[in-house]
Amino acid sequence: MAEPLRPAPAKLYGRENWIFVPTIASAALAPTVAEATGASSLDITRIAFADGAPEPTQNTNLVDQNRRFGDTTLAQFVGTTTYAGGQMTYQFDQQGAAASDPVKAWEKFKNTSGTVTGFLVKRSNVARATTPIAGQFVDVYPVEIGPSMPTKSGDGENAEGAAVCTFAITSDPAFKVAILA
Amino acid sequence: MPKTPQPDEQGRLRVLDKDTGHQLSINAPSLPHGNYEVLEEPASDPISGEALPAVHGTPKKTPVETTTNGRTAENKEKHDG
Repeated sequence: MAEPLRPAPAKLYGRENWIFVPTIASAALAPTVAEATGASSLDITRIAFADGAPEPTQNTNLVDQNRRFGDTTLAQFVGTTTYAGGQMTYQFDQQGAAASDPVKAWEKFKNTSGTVTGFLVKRSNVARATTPIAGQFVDVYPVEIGPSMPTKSGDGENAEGAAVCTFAITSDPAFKVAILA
Repeated sequence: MPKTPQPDEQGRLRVLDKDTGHQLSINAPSLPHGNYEVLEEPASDPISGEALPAVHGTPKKTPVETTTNGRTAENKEKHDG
């Protein structure tokens, strides 16, 4: 028998990006290069903390089928799938000057009067400093980001200024969509 | 002296993103973090207070064309001149 197929691993260490994109025109949620790289987008790969980076989850219910009168066994259906957001903790400098890098994520996400909407775009298996180009595949999550609150990341000697916010996934995400030119 | 843009009651501004050509409502503090032009248009729905949806456009062509390998193409006229 031939050796079973063993696809090469998609190594992700240092090869993942999370990019916040304020708006995407495509109904299929495929961002353009301009949308993903414009000044209004923000690559939070090295702003979010490792234990506070966005980590959307999916939960699909398994529901029992309605038992028929004579059934003696019970089977299931696949039910509702919920895409859930979570918390995001990112670097924040309370003393940072307005419009400077140390407050960039804070000024982009902080909203005391509601929420900030946009898209969290995840690119994997590409070196993190590589500029997004057309044809690269990404996962896109439509999100609503709630107000941020200053906090700290780490404790004692490695404590750092941080801010925490909660994000919700507001509609179906799109997986493995190609960036458009 | 340029007038400081005033956010609406919800703290938003309506802007044109000059990189993407899209019009959108942004959180006012994020104004410096984008290539934005502030528009004299409402940013929030007056009844619900929600941000008005984006209107998607196309970016203006950049005056400097790039070659397929990403390098800036030579301007032949300037080169010849």
